[in-house]
Amino acid sequence: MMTQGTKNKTPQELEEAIQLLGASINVSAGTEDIRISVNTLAKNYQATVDLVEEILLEPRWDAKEFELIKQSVISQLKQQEGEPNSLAQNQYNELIYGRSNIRSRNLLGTTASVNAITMDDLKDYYNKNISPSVTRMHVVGALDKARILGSVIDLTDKWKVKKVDIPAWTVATKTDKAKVYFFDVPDAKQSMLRFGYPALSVTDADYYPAVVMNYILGGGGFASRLTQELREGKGYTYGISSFFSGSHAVGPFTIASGVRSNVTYESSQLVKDIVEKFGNSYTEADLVTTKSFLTKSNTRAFETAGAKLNLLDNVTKYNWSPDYVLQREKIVKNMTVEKIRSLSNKYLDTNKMVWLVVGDAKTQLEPLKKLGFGDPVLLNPATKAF
Amino acid sequence: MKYLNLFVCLVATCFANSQQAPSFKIPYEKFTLANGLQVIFHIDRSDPVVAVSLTAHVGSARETEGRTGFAHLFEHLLFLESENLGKGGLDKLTARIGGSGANGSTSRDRTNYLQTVPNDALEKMLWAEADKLGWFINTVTDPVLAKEKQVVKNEKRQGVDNVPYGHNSYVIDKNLYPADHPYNWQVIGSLEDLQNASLDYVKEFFRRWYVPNNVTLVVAGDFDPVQAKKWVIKYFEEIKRGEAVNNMPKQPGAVAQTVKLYHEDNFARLPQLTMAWPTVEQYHPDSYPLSVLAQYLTQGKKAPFYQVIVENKKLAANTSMFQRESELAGNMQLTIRAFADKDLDTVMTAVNEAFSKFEKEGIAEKDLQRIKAGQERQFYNGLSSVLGKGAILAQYNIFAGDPGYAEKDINNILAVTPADVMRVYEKYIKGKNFVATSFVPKGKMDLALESSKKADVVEELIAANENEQVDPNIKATYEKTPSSFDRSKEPPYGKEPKLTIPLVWQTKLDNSMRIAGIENREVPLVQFDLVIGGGLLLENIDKVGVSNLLA
Repeated sequence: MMTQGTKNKTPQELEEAIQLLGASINVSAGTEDIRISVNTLAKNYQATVDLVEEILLEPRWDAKEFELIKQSVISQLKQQEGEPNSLAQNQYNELIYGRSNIRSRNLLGTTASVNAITMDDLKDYYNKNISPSVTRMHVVGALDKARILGSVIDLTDKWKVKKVDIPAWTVATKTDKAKVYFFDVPDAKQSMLRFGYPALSVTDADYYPAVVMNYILGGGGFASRLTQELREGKGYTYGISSFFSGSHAVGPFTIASGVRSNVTYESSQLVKDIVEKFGNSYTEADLVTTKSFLTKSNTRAFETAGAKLNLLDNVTKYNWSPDYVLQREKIVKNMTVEKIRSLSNKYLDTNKMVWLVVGDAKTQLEPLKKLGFGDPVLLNPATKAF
Repeated sequence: MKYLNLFVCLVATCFANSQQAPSFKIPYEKFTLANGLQVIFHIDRSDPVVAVSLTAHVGSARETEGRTGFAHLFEHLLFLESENLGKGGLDKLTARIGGSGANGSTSRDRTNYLQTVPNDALEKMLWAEADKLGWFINTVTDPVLAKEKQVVKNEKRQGVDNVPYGHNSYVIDKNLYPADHPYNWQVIGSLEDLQNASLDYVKEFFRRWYVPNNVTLVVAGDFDPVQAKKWVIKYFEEIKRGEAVNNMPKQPGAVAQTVKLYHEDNFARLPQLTMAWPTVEQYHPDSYPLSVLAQYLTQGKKAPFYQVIVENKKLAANTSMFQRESELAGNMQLTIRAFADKDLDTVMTAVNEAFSKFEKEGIAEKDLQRIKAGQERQFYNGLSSVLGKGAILAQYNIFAGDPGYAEKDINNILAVTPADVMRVYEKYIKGKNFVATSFVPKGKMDLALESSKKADVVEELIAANENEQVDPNIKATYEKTPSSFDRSKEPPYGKEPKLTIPLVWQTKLDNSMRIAGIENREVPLVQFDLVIGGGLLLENIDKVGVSNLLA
């Protein structure tokens, strides 16, 4: 809604004003923030900031646009019901965080919740939460600090602080025994695999060391075991990777892939084997490759404006020093095979993981019993087509 | 593509002033080796990196019936092994040198291999790329081929067979281009043809098309061009020229009679109407007004399609149209993904109404200006990285016959007039035959356009693909291809690049907003964001969706 007009501009007038500056202004919501992303010519920078200020401080609350946007979201939700990838992501979040944690929920809401939301709900959220005290602004481009600071004097003056307490919605660290979950997509040509568990926050001292460990497991593309064995060795998949994600809050460690339907069990078993033997089979050569990549690739790390914005985001979000990359290099240089082994013992326990498969249940569910994590739980028995 | 990036990077937007006469150039140096290899250098010293790309003028258009998907399969094979790098050699090298990842892509008309690396690894990259052309084909064996077929078939499942509307392009191209037209089939090919690919034919394909006289090499970034030229000569010059390769003739699509087809899509939950008209190939003078037309009709609040279909009749959340262009032909494609259970005949009526509205009103000069401004920005978008610049230099060299075509390309964008837009509408769209596809959810055939015929779509049966066991680790035995020097030794690193962290300023404003910046004058642009903490976390768990609607 934020780009759908302002107090003194209709939605069409605002769109035209942005386009005539040759600018683009996009607003998007995420789990932990709402982000206004802007691109413009340096010489039109002030005029663009003025439009952003108008968008932020003088919303139009256009009723007609509100209805159009609601219909659009309901339509997106409908389409997600048919997309194996969306289904896998939504189901996985629920399994990782639990239904009672808001982090498990689809950001778009549900058809019922979107239908129930009124303009007053939006105004209420806006009045309580859109505050400079929880806002971070990052600027990359052909203007100096003085010009940038000058550009936001009016905004600083007019945008008043509200007291906002952002709940952490911490994920429960309690870990049940591993379990296999199956979401049925009848006649799916691939099975989507999502294996993982709630692991680490970005601010945890073990986070970056764990990322270093993961390079050879599934973080390093073709340098990784998962890609080498499932794609290059067996031809089961086009792509597989593993990664740690998180923020101030704990996020999951995840292994993700789409595999040929009729090797769903074989692929899952192979992943399990690779993860379980990872620490003990990690070699000095693996460490040399990891160190080489993670230090040398830093010369490419800030090439684009987007990469520079990402650097600023890390600096303001985590209070990191702008040269945090150099500190990370130290972690990499001091890494040893022993440390990798101890990290893998600690953070790659297959018995703590959720094993989610989204695929054709009638042919692929049964064999998954052989994984040794008990009988798979069918997540959508109502739509069972067999 | 060899692999898909899971994380999409933000790119900087570059932008030129559309009010002034543009004089935009991408500076370059070009030379051609005796064997026909065309080489283009572009210097950009803003970061200590180089992008190396090798582009062969061969895509799916050079394939023949029953052998579809070969050009793309080849793209994959070329990454796996070569005589001097060994098995997985390029990927291992990439990891060691800190490269962005050796990737490639295949279109109807060309195949490219590209990556950005720290600039101390330039000689290593040139050595590795030369191995692709001269010291590769012996390493392809039946087991290697068998495994890679499986990978490519999975790529097709991931991008086509297991996603909603995945078969739409297949149905359209089958009907827009006659059976003997090189665009009649898909780049990814068919599962059946891929499975039937024989080693002999694969080798024959390589020898015909992967010859230096059919390849453009581009190096872009921070490097010494004098030294780089010596290396290019050292590693590439002794590769033998192949049989001459001619450009294929331009050949538009043809629809003798309007075709309407439907497909019941296992993964779709919303009915989707697509209409396609044959138009013109890339860089044809009419392609520029056609792009403007597509955007004006469907994008933004002033677009006739938005006004009729989204605002007034509330049939869909948005509309889209684009001019799909390739070397030999092009087509205009309109897509409307309707709301659930909307009849596509109703959508078609609205489409005709929107066209009538455009016929009456035309396009205003001011609207043309804002569209051009956007197109220009998009053009510069592709140039924000050395990888992007390298790719476009190769593209211009091969398809426009001039690596310096950027200036003309931009001028052509800016020269479009309102009359041009109406003229191309009348010439290619108004009252012309088209191909219409209705992709509807399972069991919702009644939503398809009246009198549509069932589209011929081949769907894989899960039980049918058993016994696809592969063992690519069997070592190939062959006699090594000779070279005038020992290529088995990896070249050394150059001077180690210095890691410079951008200079960051930061402060807290009086209203407690944090602000941080990096001054960067590579292009006259500013990119900024405001990150407002909270998002979903501040919502009521029983009424989720507020922050998304607010954004």
